[in-house]
Amino acid sequence: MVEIDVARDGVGADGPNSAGSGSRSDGRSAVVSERRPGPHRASIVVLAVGLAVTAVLAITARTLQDNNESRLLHQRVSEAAAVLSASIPSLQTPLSSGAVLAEADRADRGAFTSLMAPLTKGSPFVSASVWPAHARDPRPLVVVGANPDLAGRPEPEIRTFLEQTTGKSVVSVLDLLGASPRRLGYAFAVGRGAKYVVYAEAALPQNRRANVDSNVAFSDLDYAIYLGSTENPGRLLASSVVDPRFRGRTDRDDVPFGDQTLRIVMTPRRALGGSLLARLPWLIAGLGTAIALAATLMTERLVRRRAHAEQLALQNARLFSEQRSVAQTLQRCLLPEERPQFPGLDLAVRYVPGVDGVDIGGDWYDVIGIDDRQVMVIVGDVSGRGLRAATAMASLRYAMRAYVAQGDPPAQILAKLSKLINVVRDGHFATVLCGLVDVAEHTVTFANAGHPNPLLIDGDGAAFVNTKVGPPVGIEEASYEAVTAAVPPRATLLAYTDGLYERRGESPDVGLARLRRAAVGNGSLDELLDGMLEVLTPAGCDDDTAILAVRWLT
Amino acid sequence: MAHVESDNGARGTVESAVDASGAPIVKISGEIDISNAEMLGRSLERIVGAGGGPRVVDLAALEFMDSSGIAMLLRAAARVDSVQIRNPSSIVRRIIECTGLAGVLHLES
Repeated sequence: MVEIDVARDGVGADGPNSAGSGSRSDGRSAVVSERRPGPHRASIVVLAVGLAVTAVLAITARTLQDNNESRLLHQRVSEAAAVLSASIPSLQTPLSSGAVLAEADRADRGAFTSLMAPLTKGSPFVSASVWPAHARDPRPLVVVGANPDLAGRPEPEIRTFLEQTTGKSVVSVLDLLGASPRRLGYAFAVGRGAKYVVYAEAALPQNRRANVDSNVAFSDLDYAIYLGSTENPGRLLASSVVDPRFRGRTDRDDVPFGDQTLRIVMTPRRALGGSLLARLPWLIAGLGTAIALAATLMTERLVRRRAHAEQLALQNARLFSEQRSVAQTLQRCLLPEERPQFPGLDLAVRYVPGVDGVDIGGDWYDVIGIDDRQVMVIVGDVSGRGLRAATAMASLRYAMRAYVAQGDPPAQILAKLSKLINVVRDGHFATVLCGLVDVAEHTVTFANAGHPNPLLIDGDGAAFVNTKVGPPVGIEEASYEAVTAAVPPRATLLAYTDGLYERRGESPDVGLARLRRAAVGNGSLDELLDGMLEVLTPAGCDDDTAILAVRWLT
Repeated sequence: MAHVESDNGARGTVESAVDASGAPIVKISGEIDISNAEMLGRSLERIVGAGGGPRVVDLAALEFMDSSGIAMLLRAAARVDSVQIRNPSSIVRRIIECTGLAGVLHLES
């Protein structure tokens, strides 16, 4: 019984459509959490798609950034090469001036010295000299500044070098990197017919390092410059770092340098396009992953919530139908058998639950035989619904059986009954119609506690029996007055509860008049009751309805 | 003032007020059925149960009342021996009369 009440309260409080609250939802979540599901497929799909999109975006950003960096580096290397090639005339111009001078004044020491002296103080040269172009034993004719390293070279090499120089219109560059001090030699002659070759040597930094000032245009790059178009460490001229074997992104360019080539190699120290652009792929990856995870979590929650809601709806539907059948079963158990029998009478009963049918109602009827000619017929209605109303109904019903067994007449039964329940204590009151039928006498003695008057139907039509209506039971100790009505042969008495005629917003008089008009027909008792129910409650009753019909067979 | 809207849509209100003569009354309005009768009943009993509380229940704005509503009135009436029912609709008046309750819920003429 208690279990039924708890379940009923749950459905009553929540209804099948509401989201659930309070202790009910706690109970449900406990049920749901029993089968803890893994992530749903929708969430996995969202996660996969989110991560895939993120990966594609990040890779795209990374590729774009890569291309951009390469392009920027290439641009910077070209700029550096341009700067480098612009510096070459500063070497070639004094040499060509010296060469012209030497041819003109036959290698005059004074003129050459005055030309070269300011240029041999370390920058751009450490030494300048004039050499005969085609001597068998080449020796410098004039030397300004330090002694040329060239003089220490084998004679054939010197001769070959000087002769080659006269065949060129550009500066010949001599690699003296292997020797110490490390120098580069530059030689120039006016042309094929030249008699002299002007030669100068420039010192290279000992450790080949030339730091880049932080404020110059190339401060964001490391570089290495090689003589020749290979990156041979032995021919490294200068570098911004100790070990110029750059890793990572590099770009290179070749610059014509006299009769040789300079190879410039550069690598960026940091992202050339700015740090934000460099971090963009990582930002996209991080943010995208976060968004994908958030979307996954949200999807998971939505899916779970929907699954939960579906489960609740199912559970509610099950509870509802269970409830309905429990209420009806209980009601049937509390009511007497479907078709009471009594000699000389035709008896019929109907019990129609209200449309929702979830709550058990408080309507009842009873037929209690006293002897072979007297029978007590009872119809009652406990206010409200639910298990407490049904309990009150059951106690009233069984109490009445006891009073009938004691031989109490109707008025006395109701008087005793009025003390049995109490609206203040129990929350319910009840209307009861109690009729003592004397089959042979063709009379019924009625006592009425607030109940609608019975209907008497005979060949002439239907009319209400005027009883003395006392207060319902459960309000105060009351006394009741019995009224005895005579019943014509083969007439029918109909007792019922208010569900049969009462409508919202309508006076009971209107409903009772409708009821009286519906009580017609010459058919069997069953046909009469079914016909009335069909006419009066075509869409089912709002309220529970109990009907008891008694027809005299003679 | 208690305003109770039950799950199935019954809206009912119980509030204390004063009538034209300045006497305290209780006004019950809207609809009362099993879904909100208990809540409203508690408010009603609190109002009439207070010392020197009103003995007049004005039903002018009451649109519908089922047996649960009558039980609610009966419980309140039992607390204070008797109450006067003022301005009942003809329907409510007939329900009270038909149910034999005119002796408990005194209808003002």
